[in-house]
Amino acid sequence: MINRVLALPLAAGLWLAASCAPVASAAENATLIVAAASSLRLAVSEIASVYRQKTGQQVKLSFGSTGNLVRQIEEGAPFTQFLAADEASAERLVQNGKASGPAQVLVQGRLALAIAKDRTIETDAQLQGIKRALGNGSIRAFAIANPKLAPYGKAAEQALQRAGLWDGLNGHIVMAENVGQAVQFVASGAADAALVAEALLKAPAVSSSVRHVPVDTSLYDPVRQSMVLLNSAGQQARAFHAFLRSEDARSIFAKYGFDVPDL
Amino acid sequence: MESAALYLSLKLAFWTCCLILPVAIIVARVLAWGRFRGKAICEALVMLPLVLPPTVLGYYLLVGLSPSAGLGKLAGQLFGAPLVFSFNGILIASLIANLPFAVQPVQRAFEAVPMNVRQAAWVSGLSNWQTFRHVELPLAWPGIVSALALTFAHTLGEFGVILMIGGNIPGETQTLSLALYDRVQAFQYDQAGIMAATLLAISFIAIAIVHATARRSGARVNG
Repeated sequence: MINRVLALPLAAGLWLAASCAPVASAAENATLIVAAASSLRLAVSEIASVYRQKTGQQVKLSFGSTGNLVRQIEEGAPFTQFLAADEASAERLVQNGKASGPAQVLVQGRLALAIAKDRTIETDAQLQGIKRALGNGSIRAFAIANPKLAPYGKAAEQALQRAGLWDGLNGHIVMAENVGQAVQFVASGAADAALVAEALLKAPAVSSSVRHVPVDTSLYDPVRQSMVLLNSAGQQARAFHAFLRSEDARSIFAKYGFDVPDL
Repeated sequence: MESAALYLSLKLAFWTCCLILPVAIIVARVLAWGRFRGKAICEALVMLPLVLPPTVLGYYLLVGLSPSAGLGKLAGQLFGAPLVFSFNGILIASLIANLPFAVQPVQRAFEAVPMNVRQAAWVSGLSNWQTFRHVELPLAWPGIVSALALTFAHTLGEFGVILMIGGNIPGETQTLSLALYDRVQAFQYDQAGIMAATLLAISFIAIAIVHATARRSGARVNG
C-alpha cells in the first residue's frame, strides 16, 4: 500500500530533482534581471523580445511600482538595472551607492484619463467631465496608483488637486499597488474611471474596454522616467542598457506614446 | 503557459515537502505523546502560521533576513548571496508558513495509534526506535501522506509572503501564483486563465488525496 501511495510523488520528486541541475545553470547564464516600473511593461517587454531575437540574450523583467522596486533594490534584490517612472528614485540609488552609473532620462510619459467602456462620463483633457460626473453621482470608484509608491499615482494626485477634484473624490479613490493594477481596475469595469499611464492603454485587451484622453500637461509635473545601472551590472547589462537608447527601442517607446528625448 | 513559473512552484513545493517532513514527524510525535511543561505554548507556536496574516510573517522575514540584519548577514556569508529575493529565502518562508499544515495531520495520525498497540510492541521486546519504525510509522502513513499533499498544495498557493520577501523575479521567485497576479496586471487574461485552471486542478487533487487518506486511516485504526 505504502509503495502505491508513494509511487507518484516519488516519481515526481525524482523528475524534479533530476531536472534541477540544467535549469539552475541556465538561470545563472541569464545575468540580465531588469527591474522596471509598471508603466513601461508593454514597451519594455516588446523591446526585450526584439533584443532577444537580435542577440539571443534572454532578458528577465520584473515589473512593479517604482517605490516597491527601489525598496527591493535597497534590500539586496539581484537586479542588474532599474527603469523607474521618475527621476528621483534612480538618483536616490546613485546617492546611496546602489547604482554604478549616472541616472539617465529614458522617456517622458503621459498621464491619461481612462473611462470604463459602458460609462457615460465625458473624456476631456481638463477633467471637467469628472467634475460633472461627481455632481450627478455617476462616479463610485476612481482608480489611481498609490502616490506613495508610484510616480504616476503622484501625477494623478497632482492633476486631481489642480483640477479641484481631490476633495470631491474623497471616498471614491481606489488605490492600486502600481499603475498597471489601476489600469486593470478600470479595464475590468471595477472602477468607473482612472488616471493612469497612457502607455498601458495600448494593450489590445485594454483599448477595447476603455475610452481615454491624454490629460492636459499643465495639470501635472512632467513624468521623466530615468534608468540606471546597478552595482551587479555586467557587460550584458551594459549592452542592453545601450540598446534601450537605440533607434529600435526609441521607435517602440514612441509607438506606446512615450516622448523620447533627443540624445 | 509560463513553464518557468510552474517549474519554480513545483521545485519550491518539492523542497518544502522534503525538508519539512522529518521536522513534522519529530514535532508531531513529541506533541502527540510528550508530556512536558510549555506544551501548550509549543502547540500554539506550531499552529501560529495558520492564523498569522502572511504580511506579518513577510514583514518579520524581510526585517530578519535582510542583508543588514544579523541573521541575514550570517545567511549571506553561508549561501554567498542575500536570502531576500532569492529561492532560498522563499523556501525558508514556505517552511515556516507550512508548519501547521505538515504537523497537524501527522500529530492526529500518531494520536490515533492506540496505546495498547505500542505497549504490545514494547512487551514483544521492540526498542523505542523499532516500535517507531515498524509500528507507529506504518500506522501513521496516511497522516503523513495527507500532510505532504496539504503542504504541497499550500506551497503552490502561497502568495503574500513570497510577494513581500521574494519580489517578483522570473525564474527565481516568480511562482505560479505570482505569475498569475503578474499576468492579470499585464492584461493577459488568457494566460492568467490557464494558470488559474492549473492551480485549481492541483489544489483539487491535493484535497482529494487528503480525504482519501483520511478515510483509509480511519479504516486502519478501527480494523
